[in-house]
Amino acid sequence: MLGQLFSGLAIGSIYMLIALGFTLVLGIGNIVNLAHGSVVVTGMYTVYELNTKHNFPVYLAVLVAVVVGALVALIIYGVAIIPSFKRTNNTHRDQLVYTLLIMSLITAIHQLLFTGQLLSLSFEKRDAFIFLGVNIERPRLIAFIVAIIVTGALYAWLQFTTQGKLLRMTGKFTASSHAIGVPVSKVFLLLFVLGGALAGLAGGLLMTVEPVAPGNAFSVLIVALLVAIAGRLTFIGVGIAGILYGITQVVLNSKFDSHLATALVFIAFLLVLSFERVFSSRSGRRLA
Amino acid sequence: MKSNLRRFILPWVVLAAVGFILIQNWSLVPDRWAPTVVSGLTLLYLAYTWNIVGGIIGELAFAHMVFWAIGAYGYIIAATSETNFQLSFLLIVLLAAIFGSGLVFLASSLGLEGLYLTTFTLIVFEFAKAVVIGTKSLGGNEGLLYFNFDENIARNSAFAFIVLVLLAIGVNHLILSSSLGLKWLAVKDDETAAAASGVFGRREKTTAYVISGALTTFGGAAQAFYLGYAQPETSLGVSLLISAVIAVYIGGPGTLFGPLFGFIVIFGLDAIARNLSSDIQVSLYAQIFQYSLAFVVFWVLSTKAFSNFSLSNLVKNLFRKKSQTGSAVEAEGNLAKPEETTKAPKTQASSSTLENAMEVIGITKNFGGARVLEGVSFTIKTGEIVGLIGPNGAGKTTLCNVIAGVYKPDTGEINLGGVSILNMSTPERFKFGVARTFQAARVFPSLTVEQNIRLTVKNQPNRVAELLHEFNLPGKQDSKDSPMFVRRLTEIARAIASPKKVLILDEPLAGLTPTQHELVLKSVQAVAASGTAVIIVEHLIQTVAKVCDRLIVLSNGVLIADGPAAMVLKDEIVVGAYLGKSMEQEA
Repeated sequence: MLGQLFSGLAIGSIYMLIALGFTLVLGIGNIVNLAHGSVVVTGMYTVYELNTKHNFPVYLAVLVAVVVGALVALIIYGVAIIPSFKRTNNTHRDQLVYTLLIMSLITAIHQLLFTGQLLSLSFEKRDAFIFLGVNIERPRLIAFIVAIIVTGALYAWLQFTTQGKLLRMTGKFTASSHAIGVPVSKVFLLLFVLGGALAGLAGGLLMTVEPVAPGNAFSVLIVALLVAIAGRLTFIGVGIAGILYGITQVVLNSKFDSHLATALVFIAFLLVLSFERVFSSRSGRRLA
Repeated sequence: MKSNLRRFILPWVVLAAVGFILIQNWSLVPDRWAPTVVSGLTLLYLAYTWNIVGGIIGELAFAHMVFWAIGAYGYIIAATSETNFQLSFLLIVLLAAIFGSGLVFLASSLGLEGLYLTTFTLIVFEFAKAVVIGTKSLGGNEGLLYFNFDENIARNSAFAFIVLVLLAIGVNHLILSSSLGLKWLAVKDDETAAAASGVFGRREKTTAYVISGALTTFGGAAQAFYLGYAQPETSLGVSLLISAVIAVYIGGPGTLFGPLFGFIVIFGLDAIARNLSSDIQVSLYAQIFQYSLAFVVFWVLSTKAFSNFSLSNLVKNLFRKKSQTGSAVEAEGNLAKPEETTKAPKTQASSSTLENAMEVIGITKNFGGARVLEGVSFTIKTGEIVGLIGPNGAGKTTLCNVIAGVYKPDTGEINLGGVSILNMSTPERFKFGVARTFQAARVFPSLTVEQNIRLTVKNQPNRVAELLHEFNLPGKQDSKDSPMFVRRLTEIARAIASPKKVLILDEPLAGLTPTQHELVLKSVQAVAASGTAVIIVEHLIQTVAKVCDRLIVLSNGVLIADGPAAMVLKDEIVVGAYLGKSMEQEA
């Protein structure tokens, strides 16, 4: 039981990172990026490629994945998000179409470069130690620690520094921020690239514990959407929802058939949504 | 009228001709093309069935593969168990109807819109997939098999899909050219304003999902017939739906030929590549090229040069003569020559003998801890024009929303002709006789001026023409391109197209010129003369006072004055409320 709890915590903390990147971009910037899952998977392939073919140390490869994630986000911002701003109405619809296309495009490229097979790192599960009677795999422990540190630092930055406050206010009062001289377009770009870097990091860490396939982009996107919305697009809410999602998934997977477990997770999500419906105002949820 | 008829008939003629030619010359198509034709038509068919929900009624829903799977698995089960064809057909459609209406019910009960709705449908889709894979009797990952030893299976399937695609286009056309299409496009544009025009959003969405879902099951069944199996990977694969969604959005969602144009952009290369070479690499390169091409097409179309974006509109505009461009200016030119406006107030002698159109009794409304309305009571008689005035934040718009059914009051009663309307929804109130307009004129941009008005007309073929004439409106104009003035009048005409007991106008004069004020007020007088009680919320008191029989003044949620304009405007409390004296006293 403790072992499952630990695996759940580790995978949940990665889900938290994935959803936080998505939430930053959607919650603050009001930008929908359906290619978020593709950026995560690109991070996974980066680590795979560097580690297995070029003998990079795994965690150096993870660092490269962060940079790659940020770069891919930069490209997506340039080709898809900027054009969507040019239209005054229906910006979300345009973003949905653009990023859906990019997701399909990136999936095809992944398939071309890495084939459609499941790929994993050779060192996976190799390295483990026993603590309090629990088999702790080192990659999971590192993933968990890194995710918690990064999340904490990001929270502190957004909450307590002038830059962070300015960032949040720019999202909330875009026109007024523009009026007082905040370089709004640069702020949004920064936000988007930050989201991409988080996705790259999450992908890099995910690669150390799980195999990768091109089709993963879609399931990762679903995780991001689900956790972001269950957490009501708030920083702490998303953090908690991500961890809980990971734990629920691992525990249910050990008790039931994996597909039944998936079905149960979705039912739990629907319950969270209806719970929110009863106990919160409608307005907070209407984003798109 | 004639052009409307032509617009209705023409697509049918084209459809019949294309269908005839395709079916007649079908034997000329080489056998090796058949699989490509099938995969193309599969996508085109899904694009058209999805367009009903995703394009016309505007829900970016991702649960359509569940309908597809119902059809696919249903077909295989029926074929292997040799169930009666009609029975299994009925069962499949019934299942689709149950799933579709259940989906709408759940989503609207949870109050989901926009991205939340999209996520919700994605979750439902993933849930269904997990259940299907996890169910042993459905074959898990391997799915169900029914091998068909027909040599001509590809040709026959292609033929079946041609018929299906023609059917789907026909259904789309039928919807778009009927009142259903008007209602659905209105729901897509603005669900609140649609409700205020008597459209029941949930009911319309349920109809859309059921029609679209039932059609989608046929596609799944035809695909299963062609493949000889139903598998989670094909029958519940999301990539087919993503391609369909992209095709619809590129071509122009909610239009008749949009899905076709989008399909031409998104499909083709990949299929040709797969036909030429069995190498997966070639197909992938083709896919990459194709998605990039689609991206560029969408990019070019959505830049400012094509503000009326969509391939479908583009093609339409190419063929349309420029004859209509001047109509907006012309219309205002006509309107800018007002006849003498009757400035004198109406004869008031009769008003006391008339019956009450509406009684508002003791309405109180709190938002959280803030009391916005407190014991507001007044009555309004048929044909009377009442000005509702008060400083900003006095509760005027809240009162309108309470009467129109957007908010439920905490206490109080509203009677219309002696019947309480408090338990009615907004569309029900509209049908019962309460119409309203909004602070910022909310016309439906997907509809023309004429269609905006036709939305609320029932069984009166000449009524739309009458109203267009009466308000001097350019009927053919796209309402999104219309000047504010035309949108205001359109909204008023839409509100009163069928007889109404009460009409609430929320700041009808804001943003208009003095000449236009006169014209709007003249229309209001005409509406009142036909027996409708009118409530005007306005800040331009002196302007509206001229046409009002009475003024009602709200301040901090309390009704502080009710009487003839001349009397009310001299009232010390009223003047104090406007100049903030009462607030000073409170302090």
